[in-house]
Amino acid sequence: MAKMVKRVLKRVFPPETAGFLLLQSWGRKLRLLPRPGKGDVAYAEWIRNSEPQTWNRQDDFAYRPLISILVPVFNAPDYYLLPMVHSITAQKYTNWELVLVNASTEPVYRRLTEDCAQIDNRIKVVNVEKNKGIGGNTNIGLKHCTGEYIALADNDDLLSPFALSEVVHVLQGSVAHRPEFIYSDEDKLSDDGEYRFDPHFKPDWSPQILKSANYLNHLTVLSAAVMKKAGGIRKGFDGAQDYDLYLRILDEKPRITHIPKILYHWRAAKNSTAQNFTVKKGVTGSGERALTEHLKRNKQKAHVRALPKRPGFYRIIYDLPRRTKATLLVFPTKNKDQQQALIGQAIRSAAFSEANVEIIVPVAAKNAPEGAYTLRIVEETDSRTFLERALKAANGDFVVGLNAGVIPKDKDWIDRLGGLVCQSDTIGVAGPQLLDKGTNTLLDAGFALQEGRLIPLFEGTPPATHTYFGSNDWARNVQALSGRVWAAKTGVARKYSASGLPLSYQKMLDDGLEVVFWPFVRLYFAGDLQVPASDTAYFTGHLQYVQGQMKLPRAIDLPVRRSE
Amino acid sequence: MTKAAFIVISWNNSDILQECFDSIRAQTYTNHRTILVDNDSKDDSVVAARRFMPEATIIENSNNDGFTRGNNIGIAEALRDPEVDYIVLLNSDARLASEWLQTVIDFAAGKPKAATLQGTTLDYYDHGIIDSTHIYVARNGQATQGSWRDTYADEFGPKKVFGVNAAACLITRSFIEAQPFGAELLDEAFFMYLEDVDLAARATVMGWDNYLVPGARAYHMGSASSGKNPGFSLYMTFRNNSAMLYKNLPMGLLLRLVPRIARSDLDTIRHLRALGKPEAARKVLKGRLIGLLRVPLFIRKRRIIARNRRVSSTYLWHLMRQGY
Repeated sequence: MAKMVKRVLKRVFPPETAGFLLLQSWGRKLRLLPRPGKGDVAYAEWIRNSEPQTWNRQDDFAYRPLISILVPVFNAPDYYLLPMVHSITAQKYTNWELVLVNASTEPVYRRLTEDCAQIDNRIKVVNVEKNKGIGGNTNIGLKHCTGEYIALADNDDLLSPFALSEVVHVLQGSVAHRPEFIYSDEDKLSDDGEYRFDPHFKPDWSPQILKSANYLNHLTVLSAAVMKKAGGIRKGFDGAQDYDLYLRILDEKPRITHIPKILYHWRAAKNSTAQNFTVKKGVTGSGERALTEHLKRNKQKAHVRALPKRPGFYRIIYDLPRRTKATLLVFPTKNKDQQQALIGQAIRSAAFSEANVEIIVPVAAKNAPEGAYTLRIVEETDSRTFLERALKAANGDFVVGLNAGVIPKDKDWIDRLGGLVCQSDTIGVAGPQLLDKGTNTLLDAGFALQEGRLIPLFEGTPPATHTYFGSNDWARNVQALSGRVWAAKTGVARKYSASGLPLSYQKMLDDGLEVVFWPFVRLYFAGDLQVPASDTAYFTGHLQYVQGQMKLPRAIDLPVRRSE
Repeated sequence: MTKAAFIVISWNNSDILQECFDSIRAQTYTNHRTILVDNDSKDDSVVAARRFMPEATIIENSNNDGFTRGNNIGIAEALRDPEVDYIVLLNSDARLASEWLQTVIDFAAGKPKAATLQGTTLDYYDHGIIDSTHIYVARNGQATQGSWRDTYADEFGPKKVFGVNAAACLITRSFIEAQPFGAELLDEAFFMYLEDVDLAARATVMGWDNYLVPGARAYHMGSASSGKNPGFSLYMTFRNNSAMLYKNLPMGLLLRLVPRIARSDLDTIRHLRALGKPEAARKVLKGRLIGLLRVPLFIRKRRIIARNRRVSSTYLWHLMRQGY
């Protein structure tokens, strides 16, 4: 009987359709169907296996600064607030103070927060008569912080018991090198506090990601002096007040350190930002404004757009400076048809560019249509020598390298890449998002290092996927690019290809230039076009070269989780 | 310098008293005194105690009023000394590491709302196994020993817990003085068993904090005094369980627990029968039934606690998952 019902239901509601999902959720609610396991099994196992080993056991530090933990409290019920407070009293490191800014309006919650001062003598409660919003309340709290360092936390989140001890650990050493801005990895905590999920293993300092999303978030510890210099939280940025603060502080170029450990558990409370970003209206608007002002302060002409349906994520569209000249380099391939197709792509793209485009090709173009572009020929069959000679000949302000098999998806892609590299002095080279034409999944989002080996980031994930390492539609600082498509200022490209090899990413990184994955420009890589043997060898050789040189920033030992 | 008072109850166990006293005397924190309450022992407990620790205050009860009454008498005696800020309840079958008192007092200082504290209590016979790190009322209504029989591994920071095991625990004077029932810290109607869980639940419900302080190690034999009679302990546990739950928990939470308690009781009975112990299963049933009949005894206490309740049902429910 039950089997019959199952069979009929399967026929009527095929798996994964909307009806099926609705039925499934009702079945689970009524407890007719088994509920899915809580949390993320792979992550739970990672916690069990890795966390205690990475904990810092040392607590006889030479330098023991007072760390103020600043928590604005607004109508927090005891089942959120008390675990938060006790996650601080449970710290292994003892030289801290907790400043609770009590802006609760409900008498029950107000009294609860006041009573928190009784829990420990290191807890200060600052009563605020009138709720001034999260920014105003934080500023009031800042006046009461006496610590050398200030950590910001929310009233329903948890710190891991070794959080402060890890922070103090990186503060040891000479004063001149002492970090002023420290951030750590974080994960989420279920509403009832039962399990942790959705970790974010952050990369080391990445200014590009910060311009895509507030990836620093929690736990962030700032030196009080730096905080004072920045003037605390600004009014009018509620919801993204910390994003604005970080962007302003970073303009001052503080010493930044990343602690690659999960020190903060962000409670996915039913009405908090962690669970549902849209609950807090205005977050996206405030974030957009904070970012726009940051760009203005840095004298960059650009506009900021919030990513649709991806609250808290932004894209920056850099304007191409006026009267910019672009040079497209079409690299040689052995396959003649492919070579002509590639030249055709370059010519078609040039038509959409506002810049004055010159295209340098290795062979004469067949049936090249008329247009506002200059076609020049540097006859060469070897990629390396072609690059060297073409760069010498290039007249553009920036160069874009194009290899066989790419098809632009966004029409204005040259201008977008050009705007990015021309407007930023710190960017060495930028590579766009390369998608597989057939499966529409990422082929190239740059490379990161894992135990001395370069691994392609987010390879095979669909665009706009959130992983353990953040989203694949954030701009990112990477260790290397595949080099199928790249853009750089002509001067930079000349300087860093001088070694007789293609662009040397490691040299750029050593010189303080950024290698950037720029996901807001998308190109297809057509898999049906066979890359000739010589080209394959070129790419492989290229990768081996970078692999041999790269340093290890941090190990990545978790599978990339695909969002559902 | 704050003073601590150790309270030890003896009842026909002179054989283990000396070791217990030795561990008190070995404490690195020296400002403390010891009070021994003898519950009408039939052996030479009192004589032995006088010999082992002549400076201890010994109170001889003329009849055995149970572990709870014994402790209450000791506590009252200790608090008569205005210098005493901390009471340490120490079972006669428990031993303390020498830095126990120092570690716990260091942690308790500066915590005005700390009620009870314990260190990591290990198995006396095998120091690699945990006897308890905390106690709590689980979501099936059962009083549960945290980390019981777990392998002892590294310890990290201190933890706020639901409650502490009375085998070796420190109670602050301020908490005792804040009791709504006057001098009666441990409920004498419990006689023995679950009085520590009742105390834990009361402290938590009233918004006080109980802590596990790692680094302070104690060693516990476990049920040396009453282990000789397992049926009695089962009966008392189940009898006192109803009282403990009824006295302390908010009504909404209690109603939420009822089906879970019923299921867990049935499981226990079935399990005991499957083990071939129908006698024990009957004790469980009897304990539960008598416990329910005794519920009216606690109506007044429930009202008083309800008036002093400071935490929400949701907070308690979260704590009842694993006790912290």
